[in-house]
Amino acid sequence: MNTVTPNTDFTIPARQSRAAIIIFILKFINNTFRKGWALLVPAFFALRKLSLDDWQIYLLGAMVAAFYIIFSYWSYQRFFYYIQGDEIIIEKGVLYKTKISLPFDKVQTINFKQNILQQALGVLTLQIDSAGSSKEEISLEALSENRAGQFRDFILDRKGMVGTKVESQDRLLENVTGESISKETVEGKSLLKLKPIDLIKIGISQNHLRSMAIFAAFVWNIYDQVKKQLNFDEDEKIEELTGFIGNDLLGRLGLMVVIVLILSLIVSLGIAFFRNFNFHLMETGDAIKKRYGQFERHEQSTTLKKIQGISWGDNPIKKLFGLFVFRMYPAAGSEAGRKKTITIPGCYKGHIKSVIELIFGNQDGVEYSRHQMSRLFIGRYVLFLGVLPAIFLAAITYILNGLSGLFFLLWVPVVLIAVLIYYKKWRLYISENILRIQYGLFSHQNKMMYLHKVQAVKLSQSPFQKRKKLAALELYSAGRNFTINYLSYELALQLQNYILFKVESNKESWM
Amino acid sequence: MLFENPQIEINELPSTGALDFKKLDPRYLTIKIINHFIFFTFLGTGLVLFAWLKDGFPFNPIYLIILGAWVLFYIVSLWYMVKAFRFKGYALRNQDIIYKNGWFWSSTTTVPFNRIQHCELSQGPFEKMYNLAKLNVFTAGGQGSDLRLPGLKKEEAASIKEFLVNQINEHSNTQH
Repeated sequence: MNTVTPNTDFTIPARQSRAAIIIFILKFINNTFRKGWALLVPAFFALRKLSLDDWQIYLLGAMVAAFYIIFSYWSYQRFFYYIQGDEIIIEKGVLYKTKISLPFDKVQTINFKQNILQQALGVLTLQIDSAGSSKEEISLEALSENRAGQFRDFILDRKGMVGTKVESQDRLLENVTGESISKETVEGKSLLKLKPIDLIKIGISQNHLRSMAIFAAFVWNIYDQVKKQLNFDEDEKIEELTGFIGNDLLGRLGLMVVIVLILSLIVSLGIAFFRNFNFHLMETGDAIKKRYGQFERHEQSTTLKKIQGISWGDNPIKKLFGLFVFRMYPAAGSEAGRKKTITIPGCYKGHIKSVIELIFGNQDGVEYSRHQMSRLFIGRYVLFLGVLPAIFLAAITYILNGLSGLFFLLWVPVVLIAVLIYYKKWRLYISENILRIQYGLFSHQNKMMYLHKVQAVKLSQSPFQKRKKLAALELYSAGRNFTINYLSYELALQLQNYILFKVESNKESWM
Repeated sequence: MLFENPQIEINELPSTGALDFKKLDPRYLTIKIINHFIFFTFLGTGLVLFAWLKDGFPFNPIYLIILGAWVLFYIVSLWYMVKAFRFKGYALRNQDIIYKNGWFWSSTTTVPFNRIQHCELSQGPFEKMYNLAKLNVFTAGGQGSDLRLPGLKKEEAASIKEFLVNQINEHSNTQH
């Protein structure tokens, strides 16, 4: 590690590189389009109606450009970063001034990112992740490469490197756009590689509803465009196109369903293939790293300690292949949370076992106590999801349409069966240190976490639960929350007290 | 037996079941009633204005029914709010802070000191008038797990905050 050179004094408020102005301009333009497109479109049409002269349009353009430049320059002028005492301070804002202060001991990771523009300008983004909310996350988007390295070293030096994984040390300039300019990182022990045959299985067993939606949106878009371009009279053409099938509605519908199914299967396969090509999961000492991608190489990694919980599950088709989806939830601010989830789109039982062993230790001899939800869950859910809606719908259709409305009452046994299956499958397992929930309707899902990684516990009761001496528990963690409903009040209270005891007596850091 | 392999006696663990909760300052209820009133009047006036601009007098019976329901809802929610107020309370233990809330639907949220990220005081305009404050305790568990403790005397809130900050520092020194 470099030592801090004496002439870099970070206690004096400093601005970023001047390149920040250009980066800010692009960022503001990008923001305008992303957040303001709903306003921009009507504004554009309003402008067209005004039928301005050329010079007026140029003037307007120049004014907008000037606005962006001035605003960006101003933002650059008002943006300061420095170190005060034990805290990193950022001051920014033109209209609303904000000051972010982040204590050194909250710093979790320091990352560098560089996109093509930043590369050309010789600057990079320095990102400091903290344990807290996203409000406390710091991102400096235009530090010169030199200065960024010094700043990082300075922070790590002052922080004493306690508990920090210096992720960025070896891969100083690894960027998100995939153009890796890093030195090759040390390869770890391989945990899982997905072969093309696995990718096909993943594609086939994916949730086709999603690809169907993507596909439908895509087709609709194209159809809309074509219609506008060709001045297409839709009813006539559709009749022409579908005429050969005949006029019977069922036939048409059936054919459409088959076509959509086949196409969405192809789309799913394609997505699965390109997204997960070269998928490789590996263990590097105390971290797990996932690497994937065909055209762009993506990489995601987390330290084992940072993982707050895991989940895995199948669906009926995946079950045929013996395939599971596996997810890990590292600690993250609430908003960034979803992005940080590490998903393994397909793996087999053995892989799950070895990753669990890596994170939670060998589970072979560990004793788990087993608990069920209260049986009253069945009645409650059948009443609210089955009986009440069925009676409501049946009554309305009965009034409007007569006896056929009574068909809605068939909804009740359907819900009853579903609720019974769910009740039967639901299990809570607790060992000395670990909690696991098993559930599912058509599938088998599992969630697992360390008791001591809980951040807060909420015990709640509805009026019904109070009468029947039941309760719900919500376990908040920095990765994903666990809800346990319809436990006996006594068990819920004991579990709460036990978890609090585990958290409070644990001296280990939770990440 | 609820846990198969306990190293400690489960029943001897400190329980949140039988705790003495400290009630919130009654003046906070006054603030809640004022806020509630402002909110309902604001929207109710909006509704009346809308009906008046659209149809003029006399009002369409539909609007009268909606307005009636609105007033009923106002009264019922006010009643529930007043009744539920005495069920709100907090407790500080050796290792954690607990907030209890709710009458029909009740909940108890517990945040251990060694999981608190930071805490801050906040004051609304009415709270300033009554010298009350709200203590916000943040954890890394996301919004649901953040504890918001309203209706404290300003001095009381400040001293709890100071106590919590000391606890946080102590824990961050012993951990890792």
